[in-house]
Amino acid sequence: MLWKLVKYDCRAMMKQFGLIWPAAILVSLFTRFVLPFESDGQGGKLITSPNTAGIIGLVSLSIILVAMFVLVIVFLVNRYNKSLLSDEGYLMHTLPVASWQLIISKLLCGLIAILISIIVAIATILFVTSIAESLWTEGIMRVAFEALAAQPHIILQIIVFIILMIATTVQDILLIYTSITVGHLVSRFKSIAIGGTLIAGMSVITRLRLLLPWSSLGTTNDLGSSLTIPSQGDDMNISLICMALLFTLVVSAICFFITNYILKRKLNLE
Amino acid sequence: MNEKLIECSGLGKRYGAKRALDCVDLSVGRGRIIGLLGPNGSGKTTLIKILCGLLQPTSGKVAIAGEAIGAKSKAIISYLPDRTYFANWMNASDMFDVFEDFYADFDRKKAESMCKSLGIEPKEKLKTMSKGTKEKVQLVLVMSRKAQLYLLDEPIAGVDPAARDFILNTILTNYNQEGTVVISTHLIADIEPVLDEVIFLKEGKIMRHQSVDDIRSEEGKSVDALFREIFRAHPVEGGEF
Repeated sequence: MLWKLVKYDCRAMMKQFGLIWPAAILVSLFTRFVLPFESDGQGGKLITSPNTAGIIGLVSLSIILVAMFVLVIVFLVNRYNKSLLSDEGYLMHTLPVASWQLIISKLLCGLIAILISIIVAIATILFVTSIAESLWTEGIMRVAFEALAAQPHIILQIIVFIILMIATTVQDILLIYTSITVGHLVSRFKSIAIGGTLIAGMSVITRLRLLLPWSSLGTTNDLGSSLTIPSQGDDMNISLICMALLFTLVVSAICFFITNYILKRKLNLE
Repeated sequence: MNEKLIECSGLGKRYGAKRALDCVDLSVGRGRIIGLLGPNGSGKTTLIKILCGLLQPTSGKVAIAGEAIGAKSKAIISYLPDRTYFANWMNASDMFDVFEDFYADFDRKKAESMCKSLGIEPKEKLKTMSKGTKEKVQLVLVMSRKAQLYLLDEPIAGVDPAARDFILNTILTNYNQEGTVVISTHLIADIEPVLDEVIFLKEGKIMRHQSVDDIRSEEGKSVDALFREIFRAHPVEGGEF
């Protein structure tokens, strides 16, 4: 049943993003081909004098990318709120599924939307700039692979760090869901209840992160500093990242438990 | 198979000081068409929503075919709410896909046939449909299931008399005869001919729960006349009328 719910949510997602993702790709391709690139004599490419079409393309692309990420946040909030706590909730909560499946379905769909948006954003940047061409023609990728092969411990750190980033995203999404669900409990001043819960939740998580030294990881700075630490500290870095991951998973589990409990025991759809 | 489809024991629902339902004890068997009757604010919709799992009771217990409200009970209930509950971007065909995915007892061919007889185009988007047409599509979806319990919340409210007859006829000709249909309404005269039993709700309490035949033989009057007698509105002192 969970995958049927995900299918339904993904259809709703495509209705929201079905225009903006292709638009971003098309505008980036348009911009790439109207921007005048010339070789800089050192294997790279430079934009000599941007023409009007190129400037319009770049500005349009920037606006589309910003709109895309704003739409992701709006989608996360709206999809959960409308689908579970508004009129559409009359359908979702009468389907023969458990409340935890409804939450997980929205979460998975939200993660898919974020992931595709990131891929689209990266793709548009690669299309527009000369990096795409240089990556493959100048052998940069080959050099990068050789460097990673020489220091395989960095690969493990990168993988664990990526998992931490995904877990942090899951935690943030679940915190949003918990805030919206807590707001559902009150009949008046819902927005204040939602905002208050969200701010309180973020404050508590931040404070705990500061108090617990192993949970302070989770930013790109940590990855950068861990890459410069001598090899005998690499196991410690992975351990620290794993501890941060554990903290994030515990917070996510708490948010999930609270949300599920309210939907299962305190739902009052009016 | 549990003979009692609905069992409520001491069921209550409060909103602050207001009691929407008050100590409701109810037992409903199979193969019945039951009218859940009462004036506005008597608790009809509240009771139906609790049975569907859309509201949580404040007190008491409720079971559907012996099961607590949950995924299992929801699988055997076909619910028609008093509002449109599908996303506007969907069309009737999308809704059929959803019901086909989630309900094993959904008959897609029947649903498509009913849409055709109602003149509804399955590919037409919900947002372009009139309110009445949307309600008809929802009724088609609900009645295309071979459910054990149909909960219809005000299916004939807000529609013209001709449409009411059509809706009632659709319900009667398409429901699962081994199941039970609970219809909440305050339009008694239209629905009385099809009812086997009636439940009178007043201020959250069950006033009467009897078969229509027993009411007619005991009271010597129709259910509609009895309803008017029980729920006669009295002017509030100090008002203009």
